[in-house]
Amino acid sequence: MKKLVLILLSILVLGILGAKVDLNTATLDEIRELPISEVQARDIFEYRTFVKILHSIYDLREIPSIDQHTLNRLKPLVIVSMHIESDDVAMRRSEVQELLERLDSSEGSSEGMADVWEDYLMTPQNVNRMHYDDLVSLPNVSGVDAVAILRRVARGDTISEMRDLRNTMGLSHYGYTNLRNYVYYKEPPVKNRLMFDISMQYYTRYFDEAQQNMLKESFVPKTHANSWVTIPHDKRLSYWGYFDLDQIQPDLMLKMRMRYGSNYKMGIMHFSQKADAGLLKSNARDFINDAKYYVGYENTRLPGLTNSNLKTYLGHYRATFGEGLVMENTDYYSARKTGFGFSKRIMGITPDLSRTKEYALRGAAVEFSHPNFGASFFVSQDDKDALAYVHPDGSYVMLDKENREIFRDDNDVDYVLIDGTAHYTDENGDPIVGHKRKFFSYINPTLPYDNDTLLQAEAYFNEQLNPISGSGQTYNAYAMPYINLATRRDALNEKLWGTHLQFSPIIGTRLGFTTYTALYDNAHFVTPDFRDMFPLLLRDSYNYPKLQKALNAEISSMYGTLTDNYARNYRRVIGFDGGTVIGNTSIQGEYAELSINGSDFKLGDDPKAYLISAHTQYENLYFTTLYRNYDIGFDNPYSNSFSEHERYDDTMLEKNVYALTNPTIGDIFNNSNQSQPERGVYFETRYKFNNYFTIGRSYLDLWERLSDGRRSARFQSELEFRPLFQLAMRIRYKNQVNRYDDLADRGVSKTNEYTVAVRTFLSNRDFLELEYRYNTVKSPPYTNLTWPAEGGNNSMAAAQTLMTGDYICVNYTHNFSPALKLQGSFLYWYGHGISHWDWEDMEIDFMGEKGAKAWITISSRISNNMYLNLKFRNKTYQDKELRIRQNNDPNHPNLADHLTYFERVEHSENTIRLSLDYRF
Amino acid sequence: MLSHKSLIVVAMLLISTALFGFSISDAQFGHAYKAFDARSLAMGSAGVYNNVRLGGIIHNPANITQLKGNAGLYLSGMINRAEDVRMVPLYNSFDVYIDDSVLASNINNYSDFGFAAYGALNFGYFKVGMASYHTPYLSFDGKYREEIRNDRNTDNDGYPEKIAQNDIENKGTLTKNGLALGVNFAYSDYYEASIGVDYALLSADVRQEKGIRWTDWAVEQTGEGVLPEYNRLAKWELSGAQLTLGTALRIGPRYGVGFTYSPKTSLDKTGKETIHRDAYRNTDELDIENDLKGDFDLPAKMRLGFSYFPRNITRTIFNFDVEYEQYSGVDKLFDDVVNFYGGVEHHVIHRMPLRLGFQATNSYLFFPDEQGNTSNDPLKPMVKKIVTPMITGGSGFEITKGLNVDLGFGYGFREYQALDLFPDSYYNDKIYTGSANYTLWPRGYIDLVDRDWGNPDKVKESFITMNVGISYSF
Repeated sequence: MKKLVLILLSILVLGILGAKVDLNTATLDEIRELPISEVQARDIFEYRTFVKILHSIYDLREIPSIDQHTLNRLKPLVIVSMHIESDDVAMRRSEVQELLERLDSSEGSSEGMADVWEDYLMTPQNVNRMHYDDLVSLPNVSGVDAVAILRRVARGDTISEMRDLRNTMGLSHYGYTNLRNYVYYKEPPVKNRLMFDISMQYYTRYFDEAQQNMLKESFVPKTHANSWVTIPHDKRLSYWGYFDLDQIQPDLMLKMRMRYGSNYKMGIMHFSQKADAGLLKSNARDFINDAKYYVGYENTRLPGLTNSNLKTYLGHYRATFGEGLVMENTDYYSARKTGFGFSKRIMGITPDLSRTKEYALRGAAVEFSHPNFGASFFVSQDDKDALAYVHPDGSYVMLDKENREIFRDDNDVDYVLIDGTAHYTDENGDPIVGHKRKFFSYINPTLPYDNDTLLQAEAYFNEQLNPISGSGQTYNAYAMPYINLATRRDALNEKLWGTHLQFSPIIGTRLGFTTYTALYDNAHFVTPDFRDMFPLLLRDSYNYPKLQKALNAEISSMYGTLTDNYARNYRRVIGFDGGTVIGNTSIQGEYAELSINGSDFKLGDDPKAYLISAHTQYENLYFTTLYRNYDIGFDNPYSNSFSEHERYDDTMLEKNVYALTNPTIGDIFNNSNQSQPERGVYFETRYKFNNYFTIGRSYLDLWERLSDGRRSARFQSELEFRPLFQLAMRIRYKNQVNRYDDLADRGVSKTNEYTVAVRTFLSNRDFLELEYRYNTVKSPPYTNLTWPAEGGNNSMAAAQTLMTGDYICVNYTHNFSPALKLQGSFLYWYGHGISHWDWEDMEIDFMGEKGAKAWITISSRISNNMYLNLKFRNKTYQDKELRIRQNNDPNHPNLADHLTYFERVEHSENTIRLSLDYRF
Repeated sequence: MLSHKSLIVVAMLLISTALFGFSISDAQFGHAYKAFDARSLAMGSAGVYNNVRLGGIIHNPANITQLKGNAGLYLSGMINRAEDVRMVPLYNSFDVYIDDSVLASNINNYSDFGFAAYGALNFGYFKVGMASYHTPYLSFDGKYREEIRNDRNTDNDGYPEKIAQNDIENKGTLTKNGLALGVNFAYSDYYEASIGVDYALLSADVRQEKGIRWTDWAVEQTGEGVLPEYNRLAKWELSGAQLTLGTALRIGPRYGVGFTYSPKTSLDKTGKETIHRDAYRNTDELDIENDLKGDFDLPAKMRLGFSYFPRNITRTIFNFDVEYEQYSGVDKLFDDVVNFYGGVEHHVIHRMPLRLGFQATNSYLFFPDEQGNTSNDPLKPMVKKIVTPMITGGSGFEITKGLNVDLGFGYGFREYQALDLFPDSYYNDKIYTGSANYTLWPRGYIDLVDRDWGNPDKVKESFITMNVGISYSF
């Protein structure tokens, strides 16, 4: 608890004033003894207790019931002693308040890192004892900055205060301004003591557009073109209707972290996902299974070992090494994650209470680091969700001891095929027994239901897909008339172990080795041959051409543990990383291989991925160059490296969900965390000419998507003119060109985007911004755009289609007081068919044709310990839906003549997010 | 205190952002008022511990003796605006559900009021208080109108002909007239313990009417006496008593804690339901009269809340309540629910409060047989748990010493599926005319089949409420 320390200004003064009542320490009864009324006495006491400590006697005039006469009467009778806040935690918190608020709003891939940074803000590290990886893990601190500090310390110099840090030769301005909040110099601002962080979040989010489309996809019986059949219109034929996903079902997150100083740490987090049964329905076992937790010990002053650090964690932890090619475990993808600036990785082992579930590591991890040597070891055992091959009854397709697939006959008896003949017994004459489950891949499901619930849904859908006898209608079954691939929760027993070893002979130069092996006790991943994939993934042979696109090689290149060449029960990735700093340039890179056919110890004989980058910085300029090359076969679910797009983007898992045997297979793309196989070079810079002109983050990326050879270029630049400190004007230009090298596909698409923004920095830290953006997309002839749009144009693509879209946006921040802040934004857009893809980067989840979005956030600092953040957002938008339900008749002749659109399918979404944090 | 000009501006702003109301879907269980005190509403209806306004006694009878004064009056009025949008599933040319299209939208306004008075006496360390109040508890109000039009003339931006008009009009409020007693023991300043008991009489007079009226155009097409009119009228009364026990503790200057418990309450339901449908081709007139008699149960509930009074340059009070409603005790069809209420009050300028809050409450919708399509798939009674999040805000000002005006508003919304309120097959005029072709649907493409749970309405409701409270304490 907070305590107040009275500083005696002088014993003499106190002696003289000793008889007077000190308004800052007096009890209510003592104040009552003054010549004032009961109401006035209480008002004074409550002002001190509930508003602020008095700084002078004149503060009493802020109390309505105290007039000047009363004040004059009180003056000779009272004193106001000086008080200094001595609670180091409270002081520290108010110092870094703004940064804490910014971290609190982190989501997705940065969410887990925010916890770690929050800890560093509250219990900073001694800048004189930090290692390279500690420094470069902080936001906006580069390798060059780290080396500048490490060299200075190595010379025997001690950085004694913040200004002293600023004088470090080679430390950039950006590095300094960001680093100073995370470090201390002589004495830590917070001594060893117990700290708690408790937070709760309630969020009524909506599924995103791709997830909605996937879940609304119906299982309908196959129909033949030109034949009259009546298909039942029944919403329950989709996951959306079956699970009644129209309902508002909030996410609820409860998190508690506790630590003693920076040595002992523990935490637990429970996340009840949208559509989940919720806390009330879960018993203690479910709660623990669904929760994430850790206990940990860290020590930067190991006895007998100079300048060595130790970290040990039990429970959930996060492991990140090198450039994230071998190991950076998160469920969330973020584009263009360079590892520089604010796009950071926290290196090594850190505790993990993020919402990452599928690629969470649960077990034990230990990390030892010394300036010249570092080693991490980690083991994990967890059941993962997987996309399983299933029989019509929903049971797993199994493999026997010889890894032969077990089939099931009409009498539900299992057999294996040997040379095309069914065998019901094995070589010993025993019945065929399943040994391992057959899986397609890992999957991070959008729907959080348990296996029993999923099985019931699948049974219902299977019933609808099969021919209905006696209905008088002729239904033809699909090529695959039942759900053959389905998500199974916690179905894959995964044991994972890994290590990272690092050697650093001189400051800033590192050479590292990372490997992990994921062992699968109960399953084999089986990726079918290209031909076998058609009936496996596609419901109807009509859709087979869709899988023939070269792009879908990403699917056929998934890693399998059982192939024609080998059978094994693991996935192993091995890699090297390293880097050095030369002058004001840091160079780093990582090379990784997924062990498949080659030797673990030979480079270049397996699917590989590598990345090399250089970062040069001057006082007002930085320049980053990055080259990456990821083979298609490098399927490492624990990687999270730089790329433009996530794996399976543009494949049929994204574009043709309706054709899949089970639309929820689309989750492999929807919730993908891996980078797409691509090869390319990326340049990024920022240059501040002077106080008036700055070229903001600008980049050029030239890359080739390796699955289909599509080459693209993307360029973005931004110029800011700030004639006054209070006023800034920005212009931004973005251009992207995608070329399709596949002759059977379309040509080139070009996107141009122009943005103008005026920002004003008002008094009291208020902020107002106006922004206008105009966008053109020249897309390749897109038959489903030109055909209905141009009457009589038939189905031939006539020309390129130019689409334009724009938006206007106002952002405003108002600070009522340091304890109460209001932020709001209003945005109106008109997209003319431009999808939200074209508007990426803007954190604007555009959907539909045109619409408006407004949000308001209120941040209330209830006390030094408690924070409330309430965000309300409304998004109303209009979609252009094909008017296909004309007269309830899908075969109505009008539809064939001229397709028209429903112009007024309107959507309105309200979301509320409430966060409540208590820290003490 | 605010100038008159400011008051007018504030009042106009709040009124212009108004207002909320109630739901046609709550005809069965009623729409619960979660707060009747404007201050509490603005703070997310939190306030099991509330030592600021008399309206807090509705939450907890022990609050009577936590109030600073020894007597007071409270008057509160609320205006509500309810928007109900119903949508029909939309299918694409592959017969796949893709979205929903609006079928009917209704906006209605409602109002209600309540009041309370209390007095308290001090006896040394003890304080004894008594209060009586009148407050609405559940609202059965609801209005709905839907037009049935055919599918002609839409191609040329014309209006299709109107075939029938469907109306639902429900009226009724379960009111609570209570007497509350509280005893407080004040150990010292800011260390107090109160207990209280509340005994309230609950009564409601509910009228629910549902009708289908054919238009003149429709009658003209088919001839007089061919199309049957339909009307259902239910009139029923509820009466009973509810007991609430509460405690409120002030633990030092910083914390207050409150707890209440209301056991399950059974109200007597008595009334009549009459259903009338005209005769039509080969079918006799339908005249049904049913007695409505039985218990109307309110679940037992417990509510725990705390109040936090930190030191803050903008004087601040934070309230957070958790409520547990034991619906499983009412019927096995239900699960117990947990509701959250939280809010904060900051005195921004000149002691003028800015209040903000949030609440997430659960309610149940009940779909009895009569509303569903029972032709193919006998529909069992079905309940759905609906969550209604709401954000709230408000302010207030002191007119003169002890006389306060509070303003509160809230915006809540919910989305769920519900059965079609007026099944489609009723508008199949072939049944009434005996013809092989439609008369009222000249284009003939429509398939008038009742929509069951395969194609339910998607319902989006939003509620805006504004509450004004005047309190005087001395």
